[in-house]
Amino acid sequence: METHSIGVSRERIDARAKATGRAEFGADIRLPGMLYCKGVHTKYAHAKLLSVNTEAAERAPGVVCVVTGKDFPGEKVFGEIFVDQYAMVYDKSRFLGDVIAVVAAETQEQANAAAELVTAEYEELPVLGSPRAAMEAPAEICINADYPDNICGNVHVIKGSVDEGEAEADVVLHSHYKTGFVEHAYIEPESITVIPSRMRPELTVLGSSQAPYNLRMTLHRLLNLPMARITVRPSAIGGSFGGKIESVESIAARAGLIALKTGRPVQYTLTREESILESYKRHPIEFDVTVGASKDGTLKSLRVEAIGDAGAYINMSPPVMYKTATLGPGPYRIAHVDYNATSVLTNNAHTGSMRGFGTPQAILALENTLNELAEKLGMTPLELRRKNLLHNGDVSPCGHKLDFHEVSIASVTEKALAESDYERKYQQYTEENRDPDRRVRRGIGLACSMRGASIGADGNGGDVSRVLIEVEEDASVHVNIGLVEIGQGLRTCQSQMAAEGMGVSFDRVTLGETDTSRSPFTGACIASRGTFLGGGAIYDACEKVKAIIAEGVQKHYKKPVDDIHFENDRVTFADMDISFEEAVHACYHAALTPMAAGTYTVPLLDWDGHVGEPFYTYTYSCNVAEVEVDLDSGVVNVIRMVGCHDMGRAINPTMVEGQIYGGLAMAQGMGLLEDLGHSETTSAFKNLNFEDYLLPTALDVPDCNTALLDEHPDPRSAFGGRSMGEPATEPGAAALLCAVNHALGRAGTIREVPADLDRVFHAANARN
Amino acid sequence: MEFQSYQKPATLDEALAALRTAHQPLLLAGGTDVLVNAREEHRYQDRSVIDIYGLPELTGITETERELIIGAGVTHAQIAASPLVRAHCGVLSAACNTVGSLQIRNHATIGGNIANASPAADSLAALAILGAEVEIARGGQTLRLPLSDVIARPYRTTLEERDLILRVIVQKLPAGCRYNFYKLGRRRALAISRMTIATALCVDDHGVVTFFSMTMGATFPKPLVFPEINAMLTGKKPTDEDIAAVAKALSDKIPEIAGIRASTKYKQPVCRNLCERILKQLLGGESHA
Amino acid sequence: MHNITLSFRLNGTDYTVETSAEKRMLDVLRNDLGLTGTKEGCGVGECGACTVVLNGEAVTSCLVLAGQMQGADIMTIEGMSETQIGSILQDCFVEGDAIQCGFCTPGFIMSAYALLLKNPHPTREEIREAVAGNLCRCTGYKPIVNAIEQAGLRLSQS
Repeated sequence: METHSIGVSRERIDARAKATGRAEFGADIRLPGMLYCKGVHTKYAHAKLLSVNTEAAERAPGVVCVVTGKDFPGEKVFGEIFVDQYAMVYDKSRFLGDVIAVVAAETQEQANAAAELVTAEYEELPVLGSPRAAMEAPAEICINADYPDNICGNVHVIKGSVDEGEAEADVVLHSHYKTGFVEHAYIEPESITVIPSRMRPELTVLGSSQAPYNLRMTLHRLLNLPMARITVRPSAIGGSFGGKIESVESIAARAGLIALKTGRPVQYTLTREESILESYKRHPIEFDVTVGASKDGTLKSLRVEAIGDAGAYINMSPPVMYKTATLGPGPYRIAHVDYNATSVLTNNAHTGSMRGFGTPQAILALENTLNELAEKLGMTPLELRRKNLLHNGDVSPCGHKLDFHEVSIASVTEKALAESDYERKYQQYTEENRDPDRRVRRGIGLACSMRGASIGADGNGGDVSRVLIEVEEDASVHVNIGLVEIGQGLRTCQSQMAAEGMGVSFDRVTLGETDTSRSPFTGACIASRGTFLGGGAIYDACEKVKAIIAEGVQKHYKKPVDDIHFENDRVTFADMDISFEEAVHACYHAALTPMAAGTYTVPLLDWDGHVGEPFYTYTYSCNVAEVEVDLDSGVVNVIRMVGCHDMGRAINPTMVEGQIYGGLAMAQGMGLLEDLGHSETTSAFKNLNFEDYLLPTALDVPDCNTALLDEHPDPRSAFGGRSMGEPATEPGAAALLCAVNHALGRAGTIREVPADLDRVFHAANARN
Repeated sequence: MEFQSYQKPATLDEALAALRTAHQPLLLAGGTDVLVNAREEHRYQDRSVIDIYGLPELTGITETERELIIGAGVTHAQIAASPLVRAHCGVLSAACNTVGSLQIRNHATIGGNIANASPAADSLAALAILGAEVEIARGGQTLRLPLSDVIARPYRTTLEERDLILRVIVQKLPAGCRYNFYKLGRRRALAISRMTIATALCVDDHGVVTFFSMTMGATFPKPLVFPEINAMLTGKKPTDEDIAAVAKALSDKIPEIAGIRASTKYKQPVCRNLCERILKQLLGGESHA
Repeated sequence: MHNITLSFRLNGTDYTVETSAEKRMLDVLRNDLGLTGTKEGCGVGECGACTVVLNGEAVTSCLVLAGQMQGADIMTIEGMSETQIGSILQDCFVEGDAIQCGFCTPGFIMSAYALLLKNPHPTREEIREAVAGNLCRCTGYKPIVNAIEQAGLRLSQS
């Protein structure tokens, strides 16, 4: 198929505004009469809240109002799937990020000063600082009374019989892996501005919201306003990675409450410390992995027990566990699989959506275990993978027959290997590292993954996106879609798909700023669904709008339009070849309205809760990482990472590469650096700002990292593309740990990330 | 930041006059540490800030026959770029070049760094092996004190409330001296040091060590050099055993001085490994940052 | 309030501003002057989003007290389009896909501007050193380093 607007590296539609400082982010909004907010956090991770005293704060200079959790006129709790989160707690605190009161004042300084005057009485409860502690705790010490055993989610993939598989296997290997909390670390701290209507109870919400419809739902629930009276218009968003959803809803609910009470615009911006304290994280997960294989390396069985720390609120834990369990088995042929993933409530920071959604952890555990297995079988890691990678027509580890698109994981992997010169380097480093006098060693690792597109069968039937497309009288195309730009380039990509779908030039398309009052409900820009689902809805809307224009053309020109074709700003039918403008004029002249809502729903998947089709389609990925490890100090230097991905068709190849480069860097942080300094005793994080929570810098991320695309347009996607946000980062940490362990001389030497100085040094020296 | 009062004198005399009368004075140079500390609960609310950033009398780097004299208001970036410092005290250029980020190095001053007395300050180990002294204005007098007498312990100096650091004086290294500044951090930029190691070493044509000084930073409560360890190589053509002995002696100082902590089981062996490696490199002729 | 009157040159224009001495330079720019292109990401000089150029040097404006603006020559992202180096940098960032969420972008451009002022033809290593105090969570840095390198090349052609 010849394409015009897709498959082209268009400049981002918002880049110029961002390069000049003009783009308006949440905290840049300035309005007359605006109030500023400061939240008061609980003193204890787990405590009954006996009283909150706000009187002194109310009398402080500049203070206009102080609100507490009891003031919400509607429900007290919110949540998209599980309704258990508190925007402000009033009964008890469940983690240290809980807010007990918010002060609104004329200036930020006044709000800060008054917030210190809020006091509270607590009755401390035992702190459940780890899933183990929470599972062993007596029933009366639960975090949520509806979950007395603190277990809040379980997904169990069962295919075949692992017992049988293990019995058939020549080698059965058991291992254990563990990952820590990871912060999204968007560089923009959360900021929300709520503007009340002067006419009636009605709110407009601006700021950093990744999921505007979820936010609207939360305000509807807590503030008792009809959804039609809540408009959410996200500002430019300074990164999100899954992170500006639930915790931003909390902020918006507090600010919304104050806006309703005072009738004044309210801005609520978090400091970095508050952001890290309040926001949810990537799940720490512990994995018990057992793999079975025959002597020749054929995988026979995979048995995994995964325990994820949900923290204080269920948030997205069950769907995260769904992805851990369904995508954790990797892109391999494995006949017998038993993957049991459980999430447990604790008094730690709650955990939820973060780029990967439960898979970076699982891939890390599986890929490193596979390397241990290869070592035991006397094979190389690559030989083991080549033997077991999926091919066209194979059945996935969860039971999905892959006969509907190109199962490209083998070619993706070979491409990454060739680019990184993997085989030669693997041999060379293995040999070099035998020299005990070599104190700085090198290692190379690879990791493969397959990512289900969009939500998957745990949201069966409900995975819908919608768009509104209107062609104006001047033939400009106005697209209104609620899937937001969080830096991934989605709106540029959507513009390209809309131009392609309408058969018009790119410049004719205007993407309206996301606005819940103008775009139909479309779910959130999550789960790598933006390009894939948004594309489906755009395609549908384009077809409908073109049909309306065709009707106008037929009426106007009085010629048959059965063969009407829109391409390159021209419309051809019968013996006619007219411009798109002429066609649109004809349509308006015929008193028709060239506007349509497009809808796309992921088809129902055959999934019985344990086996079947967990997703509609998949992206295939392979990362190779090369490192240098100083045995004398534990310093790990990343030499290079290569990411190769098949995302179907790259709608905008340069932006896809951008996702890959960013994903590799984020994986490097998870694998080697990032640590919140969590205490299991107090549930506190020690590292609440970027001086201690260490992101990779420009000097840490290798300059020679490489992004590769292996495109096979997907017949299951309207424009052939699948989304790339999450696949870009999911196998990276796994590849890095494989590389570090290769340098250390034995697979599975380190089984916990981040593989930081101390951990690498002690592992290197425990062995010698 | 919160404070009681703020003034920005235009000359050193004005600054000293302000310092004599101010109630609980707080000198602010670049302010990169003070503004971070100010985020903690009202830390400076009772202080009278005297902003000495940019005072002309505190800028500039000059030399005498044996010394370099660095104004207290000189930034880390200026030290790192100074041809004089590079020529005579390369280890200090290297150390100043590893501080924080370029943005911090451009604004943070050497005087402020000493006054803040952070044990993790990257300049301190280099200053220590250069025999740094600090010139202080105190009560109308100018005093010159060894750096290790000025810094008492982490974040505490022996400076009095109305003292002002004027200059830092370091001894020039002998010509042809080899040096190394090693920073062990969790990442390659913007890193708070786990440990720094500053080394300077001169070798004559016969391979005999004529000058040697080596110490660690971010390790002890204050900058320290150990004359008895520095003497271990001087006058010798060091063997592998000599090098190992120095590395052991230096790393043994960690538990001896800082006590046994959770970090000791990492820092002590790593210190020993790295000291040995650095000495081998320097004696093999490699001199670099 | 500790009122202070500050006179300085900002983006080539002279300003006199009455403000509080308790403010940081970042607050003066964003709140008193409404120049919100300079961003606050951490408040402790670790992310570089608030980078501006003060007397020719890149600094984090969250760690500069307002009083230190007195008499200074300051450049911010808002002034970049009016400079040759700045506008070339902006073009190269846009064309090179060096911008994703864009929150860190002004800080990166200011660090790059300070670099190119002193060193119009930096090596990639020099570029990485110069922006090591700016954190980006989206791009993995490579497209940013590419853009700055490209700007250096274009400067030499212009």
